[in-house]
Amino acid sequence: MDSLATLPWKSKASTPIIGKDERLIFESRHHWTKHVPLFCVYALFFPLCLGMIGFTTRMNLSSPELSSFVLFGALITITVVQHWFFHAMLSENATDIILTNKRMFYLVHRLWLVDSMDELVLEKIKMVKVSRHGVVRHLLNFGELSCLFDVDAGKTFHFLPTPQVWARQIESMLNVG
Amino acid sequence: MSISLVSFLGIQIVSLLVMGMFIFEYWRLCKNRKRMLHSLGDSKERTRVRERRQYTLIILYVLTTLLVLGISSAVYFL
Repeated sequence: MDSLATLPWKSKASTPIIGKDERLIFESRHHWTKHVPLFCVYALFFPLCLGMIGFTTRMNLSSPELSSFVLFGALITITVVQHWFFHAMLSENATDIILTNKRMFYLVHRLWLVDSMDELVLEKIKMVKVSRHGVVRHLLNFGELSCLFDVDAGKTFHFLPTPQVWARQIESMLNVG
Repeated sequence: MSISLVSFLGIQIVSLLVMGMFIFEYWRLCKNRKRMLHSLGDSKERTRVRERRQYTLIILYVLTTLLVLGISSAVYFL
């Protein structure tokens, strides 16, 4: 239990309490490429299920039992896929990575499921590391930003747009401090 | 069609309820974030851009859900 008090980052629910002299420097969310696999699944299932629902009108004449079975299956599938996709999209849109002149926040929300906040005190960061592997990450300018408190302890932000700008800003603030 | 009207309407009502719940929660989170970023001195321009994105996503969600609802109802009842 004592580790929470000594850890340079804290995890807790709800929104942070902002100090009077604290000001916003950067605010971002994950890069849009994170949603591409999700969108591909949605783009595959949505028209497929709609097509199946439409197709049941033709099937109804030849085999009404099979047609109602297909309609029911397609309706359930499209409802689940629709809400699953938008749940993920809305959750991603509610997730925030915030850098202020004193702290860094990582607010993660999954609608009705998860509501968490990681808080990093900038003073305790020893080193900042940026990594961008692959052509896509270089072309679209996103990657990982690791804030290290010790040799092997730290926090990594994935799919962060322009991580080098964030790293430069954090380093400059650490040097000033 | 041999799916009972009750189960068909049940799916549609549950779908609308889930959509309402998600939008309500998303709206609440966005309001909290707006308040927090405002207290951190966020610019009005960025707030406006963020709000536009929120509205777009909500409108897309509502429209696609209504599309599913409309098409499946048309197939079921016609």
